[in-house]
Amino acid sequence: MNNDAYVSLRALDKRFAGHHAVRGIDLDIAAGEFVAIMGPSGCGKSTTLRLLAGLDQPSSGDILIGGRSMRDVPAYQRDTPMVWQSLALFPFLTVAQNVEFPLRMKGLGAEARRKRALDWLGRMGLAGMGDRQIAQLSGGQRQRVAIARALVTEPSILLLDEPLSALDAHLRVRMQTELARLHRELRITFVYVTHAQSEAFALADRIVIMNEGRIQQVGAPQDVYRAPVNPFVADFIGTNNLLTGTVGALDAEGWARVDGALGSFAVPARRALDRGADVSFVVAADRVSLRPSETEAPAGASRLEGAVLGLEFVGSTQTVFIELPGGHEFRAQKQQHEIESLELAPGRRVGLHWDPKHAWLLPRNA
Amino acid sequence: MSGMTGIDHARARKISRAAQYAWLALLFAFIAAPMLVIVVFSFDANRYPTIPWGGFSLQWQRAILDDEMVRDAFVNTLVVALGTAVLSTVLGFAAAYLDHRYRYRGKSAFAMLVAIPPAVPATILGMAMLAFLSRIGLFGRVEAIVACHVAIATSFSMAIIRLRLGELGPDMEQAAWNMGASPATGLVRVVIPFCRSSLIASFFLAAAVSFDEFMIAWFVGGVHETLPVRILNLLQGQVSPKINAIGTVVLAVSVALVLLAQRFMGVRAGRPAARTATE
Amino acid sequence: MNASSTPSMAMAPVPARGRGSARRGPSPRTVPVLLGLPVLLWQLVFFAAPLLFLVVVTFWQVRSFKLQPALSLDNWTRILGASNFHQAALHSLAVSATATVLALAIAFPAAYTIAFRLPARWRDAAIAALLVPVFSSYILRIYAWQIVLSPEGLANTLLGALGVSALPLLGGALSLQIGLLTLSLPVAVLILVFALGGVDSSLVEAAENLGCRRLRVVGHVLLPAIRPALVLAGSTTFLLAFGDYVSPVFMTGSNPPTLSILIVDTVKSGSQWPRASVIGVCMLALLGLVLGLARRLGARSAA
Repeated sequence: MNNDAYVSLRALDKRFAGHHAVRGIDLDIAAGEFVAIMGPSGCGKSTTLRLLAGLDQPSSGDILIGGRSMRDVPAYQRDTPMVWQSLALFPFLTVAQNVEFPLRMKGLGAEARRKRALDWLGRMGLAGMGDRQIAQLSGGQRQRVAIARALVTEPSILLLDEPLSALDAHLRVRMQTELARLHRELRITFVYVTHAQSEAFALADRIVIMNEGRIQQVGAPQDVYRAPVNPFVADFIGTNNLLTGTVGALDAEGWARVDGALGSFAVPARRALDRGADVSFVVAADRVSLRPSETEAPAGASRLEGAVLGLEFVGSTQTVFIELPGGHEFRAQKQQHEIESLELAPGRRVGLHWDPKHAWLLPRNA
Repeated sequence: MSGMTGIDHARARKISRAAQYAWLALLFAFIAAPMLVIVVFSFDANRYPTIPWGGFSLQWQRAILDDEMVRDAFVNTLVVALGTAVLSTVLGFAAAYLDHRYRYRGKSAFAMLVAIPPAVPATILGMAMLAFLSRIGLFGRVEAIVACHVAIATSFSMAIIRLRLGELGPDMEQAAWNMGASPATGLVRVVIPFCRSSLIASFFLAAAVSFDEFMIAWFVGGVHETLPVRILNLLQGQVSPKINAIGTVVLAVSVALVLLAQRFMGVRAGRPAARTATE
Repeated sequence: MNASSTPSMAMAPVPARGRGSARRGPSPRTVPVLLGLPVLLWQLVFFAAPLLFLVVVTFWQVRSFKLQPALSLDNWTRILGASNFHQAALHSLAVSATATVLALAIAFPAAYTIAFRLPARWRDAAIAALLVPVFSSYILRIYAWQIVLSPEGLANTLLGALGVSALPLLGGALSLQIGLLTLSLPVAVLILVFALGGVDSSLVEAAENLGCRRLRVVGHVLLPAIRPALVLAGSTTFLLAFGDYVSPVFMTGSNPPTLSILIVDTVKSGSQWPRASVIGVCMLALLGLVLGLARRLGARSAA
């Protein structure tokens, strides 16, 4: 247990009638850290955030913020402001009055409140809009008001519940940059719940992946991406290709030969293995190279052949979906210019290969 | 149908449409005509409303202003309506908020207790209330009328406010707590301001309900007549032209109250009342 | 959150999350109790108790003009055996049933026109116009009809001008129904307008697309679709007509009397509360029966 942690979840458990939402999780978050909690719908990430904010009470376990147990502290005394997915701005108050609200609850005088609120509106690029009605603002502007309202009390921690999911794509990217800037300037703890991988990877110092109420993996984005600890994480990250098989042979240099439905592949053996054991390993999509099917793969590369299923174009990156014998699917993620010459189209046969050292053996199967 | 040509079809369509509009016009005439009769003949110099008209006159209006019983009844009616409006809005809000926010045992029984009174025939309710109140010594007071009217009007208040609360969503109240407001403070500073328009609508509608109610007021009020009760008693005597004049005043106030209530309710058919989006 | 036009008790509330087991700090119960207790008490004292008392009183007796607690079935046997009670009950039921049928027949075409034919602004105005008479001026409008329909009244004056001799418009079933419809039509039309407004327009379009002619669309698509609303409008009309005092008194001169009139008369003459209470309880029972049947009718709608 890290006692320097600013936020500590200790055996945090929450049951609703008929639904065990959070199953005894432990997590330490350092002061000033940007932590993103990710997972599929129903994994417990939003519940965890709400427990942090005090909007729900844990069934068992505890939350410590700043070393202080939150067990007897109700939501309105916690000082854990949240930016809501629906924004939850008060339509009957003006923009400035919305931002002033938390200060009013703290008992600040009218003049001081107004000054602070206008100050923050200015910092969020909304100078001069204090007297407008919420309904008059655009989506992006309302988003900023919500953020200003959360930060106006200058808290030590900010909670964000999928704050960008209601925005359209280009606004999302802009706000993402805003949030990153805010975090850098304010140096406070951000706890950010999202289901969008790109946001989490772009913003977070550490990512927490949850599934069915349990934490699957915690780590820096690159670590989680390159070194998933189990098939769920590997699959959830989405840009990993997962292969399974049994250990066929082990050699003295730390390599294992894994035999599976698609063939035999060399995989670095990072842990003690028994022959015949069932294992899984991943190959990151951006480590997969493509070549015309008639050509030969580089010597020593692990290789496969398949037919192109489809292409997905995001910015300058192409994700190529390839169908392999037996109905398996593989993904390769390349820059557009790298594969232009291949003239890929659905149905076209293509060869793929990877450097065996980029295959990552999963620590366990579950 | 094979027998009809295109032209016949269009003509049939036109006729049926004309018939529909005519039917609607007849309906509104049926509803409005009696009100017009009262208003028009309250200015008729003749004692008995006949055609042709007896000429314009304000004598009946003056007569009711001089009539002490009518004046007293009017004051009573205002007091009762005001009391009903305030109390039923407060109780209606409480009931609506409970229904919106909490789950608990006996919830539907409680909701029914609030919602059912308007469905009970006023004669029965009036008689029951009279019997019960006189048993506990509350008979014949203006407060008794208010109490009974509130029991009925709260149903309408709750319905109106509950509708608006349905648009509140779970986030806003929780955001208020998250921002440092205790549940009680959140109620006062967030929920109530959010419901402002429906609270006003409830006020006017409850006033209208009370203003128009005669049966229970007749049973329970005893000597203290409200205006509708005065009308009822007058009607059971001879036809008096004063009734037209009183009626015009009552109509004007009632209609104004209902229209005001509607203005704050934002009633639309088939489409949900305008949402105030928060995003 | 969806804001449908009629709030129903079946609408699930926002779950009261946060009231889990490990709750401490200021009691979470103060707010709801503070809110709920006044309402509960008020409704109990001024609504439930009187009605319960009514049932109790049916067993009491009046001796020398004073109400005495007792446990006697005398009132029940008297009333239930009285022929004027039977007649009044039958008359009330018959009159209310007629009013219900008439109201639905008149209201539906009107509601159809409002919901489908009127442009939006006119539709809103029509609804506003219909809402007004629901909450105002019933007794005045009855008085006005009295003026219009009386033998020397406006209607006969007009007919006289056309050369038709005076008709006895007042005092019969016609005037009674006019009175009851005055009471119930606005509500009935409104209920149907809201229901028709909620019908998915693609249903109608699909039916027309499949070759259904307008009238058949109405019969085969619309009426079944708004069946619950039809039952509600009918029930409301029946309820209003059954319990009404004013129309039978002023439109027919209490001849024949309805149950409401019987109650008032029984109270006025000799303060026979227990007997009046019996009539009242019987009325409620009859109402409950009819409305229960209506609900059964509505619930059997095709899946």
